[in-house]
Formats: sequence, structure tokens, C-alpha cells
Amino acid sequence: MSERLVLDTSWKRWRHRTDLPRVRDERPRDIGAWELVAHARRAAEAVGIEEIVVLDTADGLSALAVVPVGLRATQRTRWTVELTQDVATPVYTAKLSASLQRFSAGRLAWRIDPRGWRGRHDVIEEFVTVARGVWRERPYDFSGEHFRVQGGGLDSPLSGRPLPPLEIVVRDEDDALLASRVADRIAVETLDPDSWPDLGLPLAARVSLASAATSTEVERLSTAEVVGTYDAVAGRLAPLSERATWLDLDVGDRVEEIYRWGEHVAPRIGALIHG
Amino acid sequence: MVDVYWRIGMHGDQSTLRRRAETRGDWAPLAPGHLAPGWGDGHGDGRPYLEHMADVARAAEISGFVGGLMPSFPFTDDPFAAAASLVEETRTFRFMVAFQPGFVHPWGAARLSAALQQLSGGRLVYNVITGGGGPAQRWWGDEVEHDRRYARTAEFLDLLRRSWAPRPQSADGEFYRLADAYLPTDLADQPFPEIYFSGSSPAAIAAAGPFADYYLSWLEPHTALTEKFTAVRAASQALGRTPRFAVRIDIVSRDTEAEAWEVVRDGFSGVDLTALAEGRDGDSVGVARARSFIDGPVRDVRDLEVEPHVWGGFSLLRGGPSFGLVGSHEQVAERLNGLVDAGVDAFILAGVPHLEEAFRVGDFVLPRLTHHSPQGALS
Amino acid sequence: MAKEALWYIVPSDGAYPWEPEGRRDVDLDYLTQLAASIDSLPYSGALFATAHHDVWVLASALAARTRKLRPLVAVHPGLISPVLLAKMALTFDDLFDGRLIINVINGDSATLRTFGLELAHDDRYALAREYWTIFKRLTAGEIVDFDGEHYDIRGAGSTFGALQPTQKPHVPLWFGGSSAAGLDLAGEVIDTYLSWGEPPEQLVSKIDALRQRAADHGRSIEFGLRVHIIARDTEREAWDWADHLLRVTSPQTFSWQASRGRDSDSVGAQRQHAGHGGRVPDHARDIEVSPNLWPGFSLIRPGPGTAIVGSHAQVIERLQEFEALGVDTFILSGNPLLEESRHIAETILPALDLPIGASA
Repeated sequence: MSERLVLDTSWKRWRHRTDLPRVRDERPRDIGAWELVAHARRAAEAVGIEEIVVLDTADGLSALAVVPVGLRATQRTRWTVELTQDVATPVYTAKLSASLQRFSAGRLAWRIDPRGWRGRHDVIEEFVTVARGVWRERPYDFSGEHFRVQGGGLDSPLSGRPLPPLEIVVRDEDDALLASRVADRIAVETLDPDSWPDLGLPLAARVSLASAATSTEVERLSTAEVVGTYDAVAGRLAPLSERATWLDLDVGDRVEEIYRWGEHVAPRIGALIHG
Repeated sequence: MVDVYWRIGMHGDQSTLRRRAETRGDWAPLAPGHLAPGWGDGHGDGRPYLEHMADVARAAEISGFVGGLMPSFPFTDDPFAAAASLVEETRTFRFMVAFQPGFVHPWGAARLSAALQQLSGGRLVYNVITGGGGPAQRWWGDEVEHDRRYARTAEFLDLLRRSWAPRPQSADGEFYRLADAYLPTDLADQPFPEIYFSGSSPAAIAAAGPFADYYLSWLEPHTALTEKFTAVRAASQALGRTPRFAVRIDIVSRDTEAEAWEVVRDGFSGVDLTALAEGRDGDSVGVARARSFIDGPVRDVRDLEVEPHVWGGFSLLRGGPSFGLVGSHEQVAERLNGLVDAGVDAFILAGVPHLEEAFRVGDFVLPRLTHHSPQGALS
Repeated sequence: MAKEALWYIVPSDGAYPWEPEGRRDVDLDYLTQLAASIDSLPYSGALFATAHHDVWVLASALAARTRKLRPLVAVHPGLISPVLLAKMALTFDDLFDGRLIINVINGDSATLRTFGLELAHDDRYALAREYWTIFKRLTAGEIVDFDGEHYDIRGAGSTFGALQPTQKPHVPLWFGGSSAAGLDLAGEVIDTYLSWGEPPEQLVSKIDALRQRAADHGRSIEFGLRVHIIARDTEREAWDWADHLLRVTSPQTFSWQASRGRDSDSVGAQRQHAGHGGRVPDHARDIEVSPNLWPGFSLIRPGPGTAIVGSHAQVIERLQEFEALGVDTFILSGNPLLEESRHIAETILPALDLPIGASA
């Protein structure tokens, strides 16, 4: 089990952080949530978190803007971009992603949360079919309810790169059904393994780290039930490794939690898993 | 003041106009002497073409250009992806990103663009292309037919502007729906990108009028170009607007005129003139356009010089438009200054190879332009 | 087969940067792009020339913006303590993954005097021998006691703490100098001997002499050739450009350089000067000393004055001849440095069949 960092640039979550030092000294102007992006990716690199999942929220930065910048700014970090409805067509998404795979030696992944698609699983399924179709085949033809392509398909040298793996966020049975049809991996938002769908796919479980763990004191948590000392939190999370491939760390705007995780919690989990 | 842009090749480059061989990027089979990716030990060195785009962007920035046009076609790398990737390694370079309304949703475009405006300090510029319909459009998954395309462009630009605001906007258009579209305050405060609009027919002007900052044309002979300006002005005047014009121009500029023609002559010597005469040449459309301005057959390179220093054979030497300027630095600068006098407000210049020629044009042509504007983001 | 090719970095560039009209603005952005360009091409590094910038500062700035480029950094022995120099070198290698090469410069007495160092020609070499011996031992990780004519040092390196050598056996020393004292120094302490472009028959005798001197000290030595390139599609175009350079160079530049060449106590400079006596020919080819070898730059600017002028095929032939004579390393240049770094990488380097990543 390894960790991923979930990055939500919504201003509601980020606006209180006026105390973060500026990441770049050459730019006196305000770059808003981009500061958070820069801090987060540096922290992730520093503690050895190898993947960053960029959510696409209307209150934040477009994930399609954040991920190319992030890929360019990092050497090894993988970046997952959340694709939402009403942003780009499947063909344009595929083409833009093909360039990003070329630029980054294949470090891009896709994420779809049905909530960002007004629950339209049928649209998602067609979108994914077309995006993958133009990626894999040329010429490619498709005629569906929502999308149509004639004589499509990426050509060399855009073609032939590994397709970004797709994860679907699963909250209910409909999501699970969609995931079973299109997903390469799934993401869940509870820490109760009994509630996780068993699809035989790699799974990421989200854990809120808004001071989830401290050395001495206990604080209330917003979304996850993990509370306690470093040892307690590590003890609670380590068993998840039996079924979870990743822990998705959500620190909100508290970038320092990433360092705290890397310094205190991750080694304890590692020790518990590997003895 | 005249904004002078350069161009970033989005699908490789040649190392010279003298030979039609792509040696930069991976659009041609890799071989020794190729760059980005380079070649060694029998295989590519893994350097992405993005590195070369970055080099060209920095070269243009260092040489005094305000930015660069990044075209978009099915076979090119994507300009939004490239622009976002290069924002942090440039300071003043404006990214003129080409796209069609059919690619993105207006609100999605607003969110993507405003985020890049915030990071770059306002260095995003749009090149809005409407596209002609037909098979090329269906490749993109775009089925809107020719006649309705300008209407769609107009609706797109309208909704893009409306969603660039902090209060939720809704609209039920013919092509797009906005449901509570908005931008967070700090993003809504970002400057809206300038729009370079490709297309200058009456239908295009009617559609683009309220939104286009510049009408972008390829270089044409003087009369054809000024006639086009006159027509756009007339149509705009009827709508109560004053249009601005931008021209995209290829340049072969050397210390002496003779050297410049030698470059073009070398490239032209590789062209099969018989095939060209019989219309079998791959680029017959572009050349036909050039030939409509001249009399008689094309036997010599200078036969395609439709007026002094305006040469119509560029499409034979590299992919792209037909007309460009050939001459000494002074002559080329004089033609450009003449175009400014005729009403041009911005240039997008290009030369092969783009990296090296950015320096040459920056060193020897830009200083001779009378009105070019300083670098920096638009405010 | 040659092992590597280096390019050239100097904070002055353009089509003919020795004249104001041929010079472009050069700042950190430009130098960074130049370095990044070299870094992206099959060059292993770059010679950093001594000019108005201090090379250490420039090389550090550009090393931070590149991944494999090895700077060949010019150092005049004697201007700073060999111990401090060793610490700088070890620091550089620690920060930049062991990429440093030192270019030993003995320079001329007049220049050194402006830095407060008064030494006659042969004394310079005596000092240099001590200086580089100390440097090599320190950059090999030794604590050094040294008792010599010029240096008396105890416990050097004992304060370096955690600073450990990155390169084995020590930071490499390259050197070019044509006097007898210079050749002796090379045989004794230098790893790679650099020669300016000379006719092959002259070069081969130099190589033989160096090999013998190194063997006398129980060592081996490698050879590098430092040469400017004017390569074009055709031979005529290349010579036209050489003619053009003579035309655009001002009389002041010629006469200034002529007086420098005449008055220098550098044997290399004197040799080059003897080739043409400082007279500017009517045609560039009038002073072609052997096929495609043109000493014209020595009329124009200080430093290595020889260029290979010719078609791409001819330039490749000449370089392959030098390769066959035993040249291991080429240090090439052409103006403007940025554009020509690519042009040469596209047209000439593929034929040299250099091992990729030889340096990194």
C-alpha cells in the first residue's frame, strides 16, 4: 500500500492559508491556489508520495490546467486528472492527454467521479469509449447517443503511448457497475473495507488528514473516522493494506500534514505492514 | 504599437528550407542528427518534443517577440497542453493557443483559461478557428455543418465571456447550455484573453464582431490583402465596430537579398516542376493560389515572386501557407513597415528553422520595425 | 574513435561578436538557453572561456540549469590558493554530480600582472607544477602536507569535513600550451592535452612528443582538439562566410589583435601570428594553411584562431583525420553559438559516432 495525495484547490478550502510562504520569489503578484499546488507537489516529492490526484472543482483551478504544469514541474510524480462533464469532448481529451503522455513519459492518469457528470453513467461510458477508441484505433468510427466520430483516431507520433489508466469514484452500486465496465482502478471514500466493492480492481481509499494524527492529542476529523496518536492512526490504517493499493491523503490546505505524514505516520504503517 | 509574435511548430520542424526533411521532433523517422528526440546508440534519446518547443519559446522571448502562435491540427501536439507545460519556464512570452469552439465547452474553456491567466500573469491569447466542416471536423467528433459553424462560434464566445464572472450564469443556447456557470472571484478577476479570429468573410465578421480583437490572415499580395481589410472594415462599420488586423508571414531574411534568394532557390530546386505544372504536386492548392497572381508557367524560383519580395512558393518548401517575404533584412523590414502603413496591427512571423530564425529575425529585422511593442503581458 | 565533443560558452555571442553590429544582447536568460541547448545535444560539456565574467560564477549558474553538461572551467594557477580552489571544485562536484573539468591556463605575464601576480614565463610553469600537484591530491581526498618553492602547506583538506571527492581519481585537469615548459607540465600532471587546430603533420608530432613525456612520468595522456567550425552545404558558401567575416571586421579590431599577437609571450599566439604576420588577406583562402584549415580568427580575436572551413562533408573528413591521429576529444564552436550548436549537432556530430551519454 502506498499513498497518493488528493489535491482540491477550491478557494473555500484554501482561502485561510495566508501564512504559507510564497513558493516563487520572482513573482510579486498573487497566483492564488497555484501556491497550494506548488507547496503540495514539493511536499509530496519530499516525503516520497509518487502520485497526486487533482480534483476538478468549480471553486478551484481547472484540473486540466494544473496537471500539465505539475507534470512539467516534476520528474517522477504521476498526476491524475479528474475529468468532469462540460469541459472537453472525448476526442479533444484524448488528444490533449496524448500530448501530456508524450511530454511526461506516460505519467498521466484519468479519474471520473460520477458526481461531476450529474450522475450520467451512460454519458461517462460513451465518453470513455470514444476517448479510448481514438487512442487505440485509426481509423475509428463511433456513433452513439452523445458522441459521434468518423474517420477518427490519433496518428503517429501521438498514437501508441500507454493509455492513461482510468479510475472511477465508487459510492453506490450504479457507480460500481460502471466501474466494472470501464475502470482500471477504483476510488472509495470510506475507510470501512466491508463497504468496499469487490471488483478485483486496484483500490484507493480516501483518508482525511486534517490533523488526523498527532503525537499527544486528539482532534476531531471532518470526513474520516481516523483519530488519534501517530501509533493509533497507523494501527488503524495499516490493516487496510490487505485490500487497498493506495491511501488517498486529503490534507485540505494543511500542507504541513503531508510532511507530518511522511515523518511520523508512513514509517509506522510501513513497520506494521512489513514487520 | 504593433505586437510581433513568432510561431511555435507543433509538429516538428525542418533544419533548413533548402531541403524538405523534418529533423526536429518525431514526426519523421528518427535518424542521426535529429533533435528532440535525438539519436544515439541506435535509438531515440527519449527527449520529448516539448523540450524543443520550450527552446523555441525561450528563443522568441529572448529575441524580442511578445509571444508565439501555437497551431492545432489532428496531427500536432496539443497547444493548450504545451502552453500550460511551458508557462513556468517563460516570463513574458504570450501563448497564442489555437482551438475550435467544438473542442471545449465554454465554461470549461473559461475555467482552463482563467487558471492559466492566473499562473502566467495574463499571457494567454486565443486564436479562434471556426473550421470548415466535412471529414476534418468529423475526425474531431464535430458534426456541426458548415453553415451553422459561425453561429456556433458566436454562441461559444458569448457564453465563454458570460461564464467568466463570479456570479452564476445560466443560458440555454442552440449549441451549449450553461447551468450556474461561474468562476471563483480571483479567477474571474483575471484578464480575458485577446482573441485572434481566423476568418474574414461577411458571415465570419457578423459572428466574430463583438468578440474579435484581431482578424488574422495569411500574407497575400498587397492588393488582395488591402481589399480584404477594406471589406472587413466596411462590414464592421455597418455593425459599428473598428476592426484590427493581424498577418501571419513566413520570412527568409539575410544580410543580402542574394543570400536570401539562394536559400529559396536551393529549396525550390528540389521541387518537381512537371508535377507542379500538371497539378500533381502535393501542395497544388497553395500553389494554385499563388499562380492566380502571376502570368505564364513557373520555371524559375523568381516566377513565383508575385510582387517585390513576396514569394508564393513557401508551401512547396514546408507545410503551411504559400506567401512569405524574401529579401535582405532592410527589404523585409521595409515590407513589414509598409504593411503597418496599410493597416496591419500585429504580425505573426515564422522562419525555418524556428529556433535559429527567431534569433536572426530578432537580431536584424525587429530592430528595423518602426512600431513594434514591448514585451510583457497584456493588462 | 573520439570519445566526446564539447561546445563552447562565452558571455558574448552573435554572428561576429567581436564587432558591435555582430553582437547580440547576452544575459542570464540567453546563457541559460545556450547551456540548455548544449545539454540537449550530443555534447558532453562546454569550454567556458575566460571573458568579462568570472567562469566559476557563470559555470555554477548554468550547471544548476542543466543535467549533464560538464563545464570545462578555466583557472589561472596562482591567483587563488590551491586549497581554496580544491574546496570550490569539490563543492561544485558535490552539488552537480561530479561534472567539473578544470582547464589549466597559464596565460601571459601581462594579464597575470593585472591580477598582482609577477612571474616570468618559466616561473609560471614551476608554480603551476606545485599548484596542480596540491590540487590533484586534495581533490583525490587526501590531507596534504606540501613543502615546495612556492607553497608551504600543512594539513590542507583537514577542514573540508564531509566534502568527499565525487570523481575518480581526482577532478580532471585539461591543458593547452605549446611551449617546452608547457609540454613538460602536461606530461607530468595533465590528464587531457588540448591543442588548437594545426595542420595534421604538426599535430601528430605534438601528440607523439606528449605521449613520450607522459610515459617518462609513467602516465598516459589524452588529446583534445579545440577548433572553430564554419560548415555550410557547399564549400563555396563556407569560404564566402569567411570572406564576409573579414569584410565586416573593423580595421581597429585587426590592428588591436595584430599588436596582441606580436607582443604576447604565449607560444601558441606567437605561432599563430607567424602564420600570417598579422596581414589581412584579400581573400580568406589566401591563408588556408592545409586543406580546409584557416587561421583567420587569429587575425580577429585572441585565443584559438583556427577554423575548419568547408562543406559539411569536408569538415567531417577533416575531423575524422584528426580522430585517426589520436584525438580523443573535440572542443568545437561556431557563431552564433546557440544556432551553430544545433547546426553542428545535426550535420557533423552524427558522423563522429560519439558514444551517447559518455560523460553522464
